Amino acid sequence: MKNTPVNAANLSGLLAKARSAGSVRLTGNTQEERRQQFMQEVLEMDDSQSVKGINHGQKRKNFVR
Amino acid sequence: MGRREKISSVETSALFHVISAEYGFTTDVVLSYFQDIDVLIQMWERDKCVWVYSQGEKHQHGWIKQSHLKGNGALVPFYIGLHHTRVLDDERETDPLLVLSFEQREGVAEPALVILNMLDHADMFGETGSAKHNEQQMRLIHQRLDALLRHPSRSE
Repeated sequence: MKNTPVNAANLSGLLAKARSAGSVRLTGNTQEERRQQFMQEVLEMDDSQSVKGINHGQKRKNFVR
Repeated sequence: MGRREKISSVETSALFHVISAEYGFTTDVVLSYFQDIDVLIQMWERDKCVWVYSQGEKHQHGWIKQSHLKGNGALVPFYIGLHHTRVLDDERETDPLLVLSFEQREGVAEPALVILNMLDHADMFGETGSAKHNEQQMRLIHQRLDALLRHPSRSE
């Protein structure tokens, strides 16, 4: 029985870098502040990429696949 | 019964968006899950702890699981030190996952809980088929990550 997931080696290599990279802590008090910080500092979206109007649940995993 | 792990904070890796995108979670898709992710972050930050559960124990929303221990008792050494949790508070929906790690910070007693990336269960644990990325693709991804890590904005 094969036990090792097919992406495990590649994924673990990427995650090793993610662990040693810097990180961002969300500090906003309101959801909008936190969302803005998430967009700018985690997703690194600039103002031109802001996607106002995308709301909770609009795109789910079916969108990914 | 899970065990409680104290944490000092919840952080998100600077490479979260790049690695998540490689597994289909582009920025707009991640953003559509922001409320779900933020619920988890705020819960963990408020409690200053996270519950870690094991194979055979019932998942509860916000509980995290060691990623290297499989249901059949087998070990996945590649995933030692990693944990994962479901994003959605929905018993029927096991995807997507957040991958997490505990990271010690200098001068802080408790570790930070760091969100590393977002992906589907099948991409993390699937054992059949071919890998999502070939050798050349992986080399390019690593080059991109290295370039991001070397960027002057990350040196502060």
